[in-house]
Amino acid sequence: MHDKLRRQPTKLSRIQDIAGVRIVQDMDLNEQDAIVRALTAEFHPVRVTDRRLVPSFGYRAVHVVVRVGRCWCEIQVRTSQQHLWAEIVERLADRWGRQIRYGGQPDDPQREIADSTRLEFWNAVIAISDAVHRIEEVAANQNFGIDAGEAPEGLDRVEIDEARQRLREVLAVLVEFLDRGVAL
Amino acid sequence: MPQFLIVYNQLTGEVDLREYGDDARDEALERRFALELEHRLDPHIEVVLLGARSEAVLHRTHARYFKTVRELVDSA
Repeated sequence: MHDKLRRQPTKLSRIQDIAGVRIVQDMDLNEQDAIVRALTAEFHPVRVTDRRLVPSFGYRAVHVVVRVGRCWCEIQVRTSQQHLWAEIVERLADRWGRQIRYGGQPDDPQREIADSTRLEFWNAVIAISDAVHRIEEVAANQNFGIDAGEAPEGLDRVEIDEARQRLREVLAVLVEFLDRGVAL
Repeated sequence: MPQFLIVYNQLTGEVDLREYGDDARDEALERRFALELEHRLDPHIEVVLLGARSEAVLHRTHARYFKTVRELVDSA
């Protein structure tokens, strides 16, 4: 909270996540929409921030801010994939500087890790967010869970396969760094 | 719902967790404020109070406190 007030000077009463709830679920984007609709029907007043199409420096989720008594409460609605990405970034930010969550470069960005740099590694992590979103979009449009096996006949297999391949590639970059003994 | 008081060191990943029953929420909150005061000069120490159905749920919703990046990636 102290960091937040320093980053965005404002009145304490205007901060939206003094209290918070996090919903993490194995679901597709349509199901995520359904949860958000249910929340908006339940509370008043309510504000929705959808960070899926326009992510906040790679962070994707839907935040529903509701008023409970005199307090604002932020309800984070995340798919499992969005959540995994966010947790990886939080853990990285512990070591490389919390500013990376808000568009800043890692501390000591040109510091070498294996034959690369922290900055290049960080760019690979951002790319993972885009790849995950692409897969989730395809899965939602096809009404086809991303963890399911073969796509049903007639659906766009090529698009799904391409998105999955992209995710494998960017995750492989991450694992490659880790296999080189980069301490994270 | 049980309350979990966490003291987390961002640099070392060390985490200290204590569980409070639903009837001890005020005690948990008071302890949280005391710990925040104790660690106020160390920007790398986080003190958080989280409610969750179980510690296992907490390990999922707030995995960062319990797993390394490698373990997070491996769980994908």
